[in-house]
Amino acid sequence: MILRPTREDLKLIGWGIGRVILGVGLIMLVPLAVAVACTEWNTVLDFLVGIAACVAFWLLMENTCRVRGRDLTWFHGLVIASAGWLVAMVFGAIPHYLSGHFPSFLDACFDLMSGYTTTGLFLLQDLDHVSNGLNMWRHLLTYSGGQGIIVIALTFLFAGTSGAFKIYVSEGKEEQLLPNVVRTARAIWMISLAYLVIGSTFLFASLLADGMPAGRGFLHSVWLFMGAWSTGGFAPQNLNLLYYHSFIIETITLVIFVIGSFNFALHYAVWTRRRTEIFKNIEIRSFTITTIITTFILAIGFSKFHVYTTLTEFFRKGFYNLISGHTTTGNSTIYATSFYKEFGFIAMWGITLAMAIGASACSTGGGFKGLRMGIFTKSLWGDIKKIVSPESAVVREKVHHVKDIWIDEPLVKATMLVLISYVFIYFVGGLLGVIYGYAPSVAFFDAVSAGSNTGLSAGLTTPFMPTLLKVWYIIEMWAGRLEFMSVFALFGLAAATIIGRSGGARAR
Amino acid sequence: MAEVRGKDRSSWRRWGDYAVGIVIEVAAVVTISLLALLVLYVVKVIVA
Repeated sequence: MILRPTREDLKLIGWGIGRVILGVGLIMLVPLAVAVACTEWNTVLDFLVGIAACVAFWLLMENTCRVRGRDLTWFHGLVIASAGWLVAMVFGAIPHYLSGHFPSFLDACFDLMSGYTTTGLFLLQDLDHVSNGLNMWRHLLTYSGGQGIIVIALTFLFAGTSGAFKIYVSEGKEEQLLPNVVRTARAIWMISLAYLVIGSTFLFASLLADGMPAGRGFLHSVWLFMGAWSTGGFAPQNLNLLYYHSFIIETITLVIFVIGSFNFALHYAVWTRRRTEIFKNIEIRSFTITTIITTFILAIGFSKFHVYTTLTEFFRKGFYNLISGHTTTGNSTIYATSFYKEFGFIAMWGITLAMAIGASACSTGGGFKGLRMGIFTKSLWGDIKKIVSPESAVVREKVHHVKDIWIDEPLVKATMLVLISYVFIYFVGGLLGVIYGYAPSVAFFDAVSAGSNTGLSAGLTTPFMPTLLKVWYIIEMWAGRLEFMSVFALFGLAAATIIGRSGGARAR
Repeated sequence: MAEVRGKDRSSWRRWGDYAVGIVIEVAAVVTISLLALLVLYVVKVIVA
């Protein structure tokens, strides 16, 4: 029997979403400060309107939805995470839309969801003339989205709430680095901020060496770091990394986004004297193997079509974009159309495969994730061993991720459910593109890019793409980032509201 | 005073651990990249 959510359930969800939106409003203070410092008064006004809207929504939810004496259940946590991201998209899009760089509010929402989910696809027009305040907002979105909006809210706004862990897990981060979830959220921030200082310093020095003025170089270095570390792939210029024409900057960003794609639990283990974890971890092994396989496909493709034949060209134009795709970053050193016009279909499908597989679980990245690839492969290997072993033999497989994890049926089932869900959104996105008349390799490239939160585009994603595709890509980015369970819960809430029976308070 | 000095030392040690962790992670990225470039080289040799 499905129970209809009670008024109290809905109030708790509303209260939680209100806190998330307050978090969004607080983050807007940073671009507001940048806009003030750069005397961009129109942008200041845009952000003041955005902050006012967020605070007004929070006050409304805080005063109408506060339920005393009840804590959040798993169901509430899942729905707050999934609905919270959608509502955060709408409120976050206000400064975007007011900037005048978007012809419609839908386009602004597309860029917001792309930023939060660390995808990196964008419909913003005339990026090269965007204000510093708005550029800071774009990059801060993707940086904070990489850690998770919920992680931000947990760090500052949910402290002391015992249901906090449920919202944290619902955002697609299942691992606790420390026994306390709020301390875990703070540890994630500590790692990200430490890398922000180091990475930005290296980028700043390189930009200065290339002749960029100090002020501009400082902003560009911070933005480039935020885009790469969060595996978001945003950059302050329309040409992305191609704008800089710098081997050093490309190499630094490559190192940043690969490290950014590592699991936060792995970072924490390696940083706290469990050094050998880097060799034993299933996600690093999986990433190394899939990188070698996709590099092989890329090399074959380039050889067949006689492109990027020198080692430097291969590294800067081929390998960089491949790893950018594999880590689901989306930073690029070529024109979007070059994927279709120069790479050839073998290399293009190689990158599509790398994007689909994606990065590590509990990282800033998207896609199937290395952990799931490891579990899937090991379980397949276990089945093969079972077939060739005597009937009485007990065959059990395990993977190592911070600790040994034994592979059992529920784990394989859960893994397969998520893998199938990813394949479904990739396939529907690709099919829609083909129906609209795009070449299959382009349609599937961009659809996989959106679903895996990558952000590379073969030229399909523009402000002129069909509206239905824009909406589907928003759904892909959102569902892919939350890894589906929270999205299923939101649909469950909708279904329970319509067909459920009233039966008292929810006890999950 | 001794307690403060002890805290300082443990704080330095902690940040030292973090720095070693960062170096290990960068080394891992370089190793993976070199492995991939080796694959490219092998493919080039085979195709040529």
